[in-house]
Amino acid sequence: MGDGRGSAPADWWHGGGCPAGLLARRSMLQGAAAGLVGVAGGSLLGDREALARGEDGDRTTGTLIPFHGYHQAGIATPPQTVGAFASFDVTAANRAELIELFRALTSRARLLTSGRTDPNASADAPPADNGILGPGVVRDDLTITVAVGASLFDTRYGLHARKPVQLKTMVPFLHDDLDPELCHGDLLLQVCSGHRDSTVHTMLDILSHTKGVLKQRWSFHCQRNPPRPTGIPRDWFGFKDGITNPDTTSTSQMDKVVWVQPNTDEPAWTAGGTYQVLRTVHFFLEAWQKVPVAQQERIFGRRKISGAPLYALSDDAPDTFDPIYTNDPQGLITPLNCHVRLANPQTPQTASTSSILRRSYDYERSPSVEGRPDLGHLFCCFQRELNTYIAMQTRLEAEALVPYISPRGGGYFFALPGVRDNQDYFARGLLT
Amino acid sequence: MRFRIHTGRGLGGIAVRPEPAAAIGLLLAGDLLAARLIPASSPSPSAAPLAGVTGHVYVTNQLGNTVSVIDAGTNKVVATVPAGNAPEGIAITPDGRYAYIADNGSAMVSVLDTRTNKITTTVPVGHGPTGVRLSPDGTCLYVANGGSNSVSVLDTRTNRVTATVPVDVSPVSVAVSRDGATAYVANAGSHSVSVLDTRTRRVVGSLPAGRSPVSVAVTPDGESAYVANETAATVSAVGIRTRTVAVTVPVGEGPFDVALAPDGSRAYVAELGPGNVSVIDTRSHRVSATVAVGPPGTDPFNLAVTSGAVYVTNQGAGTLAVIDPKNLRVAATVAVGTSPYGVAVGP
Repeated sequence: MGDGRGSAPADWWHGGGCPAGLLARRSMLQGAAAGLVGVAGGSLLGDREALARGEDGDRTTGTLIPFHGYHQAGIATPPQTVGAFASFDVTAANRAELIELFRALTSRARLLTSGRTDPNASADAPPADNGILGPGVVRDDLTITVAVGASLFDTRYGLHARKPVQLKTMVPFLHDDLDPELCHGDLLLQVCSGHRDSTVHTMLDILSHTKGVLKQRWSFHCQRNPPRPTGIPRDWFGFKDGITNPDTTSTSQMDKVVWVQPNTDEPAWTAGGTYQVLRTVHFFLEAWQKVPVAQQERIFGRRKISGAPLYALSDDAPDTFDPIYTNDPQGLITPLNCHVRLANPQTPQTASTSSILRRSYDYERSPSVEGRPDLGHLFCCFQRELNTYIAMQTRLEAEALVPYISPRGGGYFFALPGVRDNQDYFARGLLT
Repeated sequence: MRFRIHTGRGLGGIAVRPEPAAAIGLLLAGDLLAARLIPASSPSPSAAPLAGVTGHVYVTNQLGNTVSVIDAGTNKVVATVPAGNAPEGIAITPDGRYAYIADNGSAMVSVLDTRTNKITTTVPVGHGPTGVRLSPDGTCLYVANGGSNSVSVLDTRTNRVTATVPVDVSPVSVAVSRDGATAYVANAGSHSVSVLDTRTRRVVGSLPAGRSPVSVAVTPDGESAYVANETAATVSAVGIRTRTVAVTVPVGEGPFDVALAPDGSRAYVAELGPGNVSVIDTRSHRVSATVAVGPPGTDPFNLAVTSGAVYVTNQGAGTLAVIDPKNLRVAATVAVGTSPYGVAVGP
């Protein structure tokens, strides 16, 4: 794979002759080895960590979220404040290089989510890590989640027969304005954490260790706004977003709604994974600002201040109140074409296509190339069947919010099953 | 619970579901497989029977297209019966032989034979039928067609619609006076209750109500109507002779149903948002007690009240709560189907 000489990230590690230099000029395999070194050096780093914490107190407010598991982290995990999403084309030459790529991704993710970085060989050598996160173990709720797109299952790697049965390239919905440069991809990285330095550090680290085999298509750095004042965060429209969700602590709900189960129509390797949908949706905030609040509420189907359903009057009504409109056949209280009602019409016909796990973020990339504000939503959801999302979004083609949004990017992906242990790696079941 | 997932329960949706030692005779050979798909021991948080309570309770499961039959003596589900499309309101004939069910999704009323637990007849009505009520003698069924601003009057002896009466906007609930002479129809879209003369089958007047009146109940003496105003968080006590609101009682957010105790001393109000049933003393017109049936997301929806028990369907929780009217405690919580909606009690 490419040696990366001359490109900025590689220069950070450019060294000469010492062991750190060897690690710095990492090929894919060397990257994997470096990850193992990091884990093996745990006790030493543990001392450093103790020192750092003793001197400075708790440096971060988060935790270490376990990397190994039957499912990947970053899905059932309560959404962290910061989310970075990057989509790539895979340029591995063959299946063997593809396996190397996933092994390298695994070892970097394993190390990074342990809150550690590669140790420096000596003070005289270029640093092994860029140092953004400082010394010691950084507990910042970091999760790294890997998903694959339908294009990875084309003829390049002979994976066609193993494609998740519902995975396909996203087809535009009725009112989409998809920009090909912001869509699709062979591989999706979702990196979430408590602070943006952690996600930047992780993305840079992974990019530098996968040079020559991953070519970025598009990326979004996003955040979730803090609760204002309480409960579910607000999006740029000022509405609380993503209120209705399964209980992520309930195994039975998650197995029913999110996780692909063994012994289904899906290939065996997919069990424990889930379909991931990303949609980057630009908001027309100037137009929205001209809409009276009562009308905005009828467009969403929720109260603006409280996030409660439209039957609730008080600004203090909890957003945990359920919107129920089964006694409102004409949509007089909750309009038939409002967002929440089309997402889940509460009819027997739509009951099986109304449950997804929402885990969205907000983006701000102003000004756009035209010099205008560019704010919007990075809609992210997970579901056991991709067709559930497609049915739901097809209903939403008729929603009253359409004039105020412009879906411009995203794609359909399959979030891989979890990496079970130190011997396992991403997509092992797919590739072997 | 913010989201409704009903594992197992009601998934079959098509199965008669016999409980151990009950209704075994209902299990037809063809239903065997489907019946076994439904766990025999659905979660049943509590099922303490209430002393002296008998009969059967029927619950429509709106998203499951079924009716759950509960033995009121044991508070156990004895059968789960396939019903029509999106069954909502339900009424039982005084002799307990038939249940009339509004199939909201198909603009039909289904007639359920409670001996065989089979739908014997379906009768076309207006669009979006939801609330139903029988005359005290059981000969007439009044169906609120929420989608077509009318009430269908169905003769239960012939199972034919004998009149379709235009009312105001979005009628979703019906009450009938004890003498059977008058039906009251809550028009959720018109801030009003239509007064229907059951002999002439004409609207003879209208009672005022608050915002989004979605439920109406009438006192045994025929003097007052109680109206749940969904988007006002109030219950209006309306004088029927004066046709004026006597008192407006503040209740919790999202009052979806109101029902009177048989002696008229109390009005029970299902408050969907917070998951409570409030009890209004009809003499003082104050909320005298509030019974929590669950956290937000439980979604108490419809009520049926007898002298021995108050039954509440919880749409979100997928349960029927049984409240003991003596101590106002939840005596039992019975797991039923997906999105339980209507509830009625038969002998």
